[in-house]
Amino acid sequence: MAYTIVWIDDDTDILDPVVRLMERAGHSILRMRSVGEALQKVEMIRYCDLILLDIILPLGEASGEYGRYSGLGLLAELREQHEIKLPVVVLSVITNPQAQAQFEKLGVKDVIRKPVLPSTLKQRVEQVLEDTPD
Amino acid sequence: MPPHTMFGQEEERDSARETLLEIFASANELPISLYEERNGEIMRIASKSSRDDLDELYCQAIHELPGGTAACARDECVRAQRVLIKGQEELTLCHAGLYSQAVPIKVDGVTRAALLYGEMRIAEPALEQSTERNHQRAMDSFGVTGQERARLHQLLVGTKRFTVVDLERIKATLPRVGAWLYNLFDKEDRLQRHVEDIMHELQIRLQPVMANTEILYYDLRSIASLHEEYKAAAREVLNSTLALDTVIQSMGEFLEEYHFVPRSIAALLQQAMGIYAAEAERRAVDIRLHLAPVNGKTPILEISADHLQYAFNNLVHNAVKYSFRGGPDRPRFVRISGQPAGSLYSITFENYGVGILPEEIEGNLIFKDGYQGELTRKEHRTGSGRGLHFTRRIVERHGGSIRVTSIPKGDQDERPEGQPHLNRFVVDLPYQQPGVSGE
Repeated sequence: MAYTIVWIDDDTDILDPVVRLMERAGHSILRMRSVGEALQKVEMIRYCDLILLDIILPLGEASGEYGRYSGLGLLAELREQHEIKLPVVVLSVITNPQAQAQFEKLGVKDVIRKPVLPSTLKQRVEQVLEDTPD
Repeated sequence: MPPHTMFGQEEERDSARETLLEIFASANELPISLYEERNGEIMRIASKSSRDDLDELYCQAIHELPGGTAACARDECVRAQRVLIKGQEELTLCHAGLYSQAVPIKVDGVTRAALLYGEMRIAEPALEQSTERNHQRAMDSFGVTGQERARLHQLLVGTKRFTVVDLERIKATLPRVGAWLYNLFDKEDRLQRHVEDIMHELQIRLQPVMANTEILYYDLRSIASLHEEYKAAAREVLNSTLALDTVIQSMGEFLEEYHFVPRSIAALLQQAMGIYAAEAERRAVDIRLHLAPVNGKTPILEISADHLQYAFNNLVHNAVKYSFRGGPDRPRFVRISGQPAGSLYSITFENYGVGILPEEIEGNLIFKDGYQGELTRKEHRTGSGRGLHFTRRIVERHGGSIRVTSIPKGDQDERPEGQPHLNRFVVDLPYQQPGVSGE
């Protein structure tokens, strides 16, 4: 099944091959590179099937609760102010035990560490999508 | 301060601080406390005293009065705060009349901590008067009268007296040793941050290499006319990037974001076998996997996949790397097997090769961070020494356990690699994590 995935991540260059593989598998990838861009395009996000999110993004003014994790601040805003309930998969290189509680609070479905194999990412994203009720 | 450091955990730093205080307390027969400001609060980090301290009897009696302990703690904290703010040493008088020497620990001109050592009387008339005055005030404020008041006064009189010269001798080296200790911690922090920055940079750079290599491998594999050698080369490059990723993960502090979801562990084990397949082939090591089904199906456990992948990679790689290089009649194998064990699923990694010394097993040394292990009693193993440490942490974070046995096998000939052993790492994992809802 083909899905539309919004991928919010500033590491666009290094992720090109991963995006290519997802597109080859028939999925549409909508790429956004910052918190600001995502907030401008909330209505586009609303009609996607899944959010793939880096937790540290540029141009993000995350609230104190989220500190440097501007991606999580963005997710909180999408959830709370824009009522976007899409499943979310976090993809990040950062390690921090405090982030775990935030993931649970914000309903993150999976957390994938970079670097990731394209096939692994595809399989885990598809698994989350299949497990998500319509 | 980070919870973990490059060379150990925060407890090791606390232990270093306590050792410093213990040496001081024993040498001078004086109690000593270390204070730091943490998150805006003045906190007592460590405290030591010698059992023979006569002054402890007086202090102990004051502590035993109603509200006495709180009054002493408050009083000491105020004095520590003053030193931390001013950054200057001072002779401080406590609410009950005893003196402490308070000294700042400075690194590069910045006050990092305060040391308070006492409690004592000072053999100077003016200072003795102050002692007596505060003692009487304390007795009044606690409402101590009659015989009890006389008893406490006797305890005060019995408290050790120091001269100003004694004090100068005592305080000559302590702040310098403290500063040295803090400086060491700072260097350790800087080194750790540096290593982790490099680790993150390597992971980012590895992303396109790993992704492009996998795509290239699958594309080459689909070309029927392409020579197998090229396909095998592409596969080895791919697996080498995965092995490199496992090495990079061992450089810094380990990924802490655990995310448990029900998954088949077979795929993780197969990936681990794939990563080290080429190395196993070069060493003529046969790797086999057999997982007993659970209720007729492949075992599904609630796991954090990225973490467990690292743990499995590590166990498989160790088994391959240390498979015995003995004679042609000796089988070289890595067997991975799994079976249900009550509420757990038990996975055994077994190889025939270089043994693990009994003392390394009994003392849990092989799981200690940075421990590289002995190849034989004369040789050391290679590697970061972090893989098994992280592996155990990961398994335990899953609510599981890991144990190891190493049994000598065969004849007693002393080969360069030592006597061949049958090594077994057994990982027991629960099917479900508490508080994780199945998806």
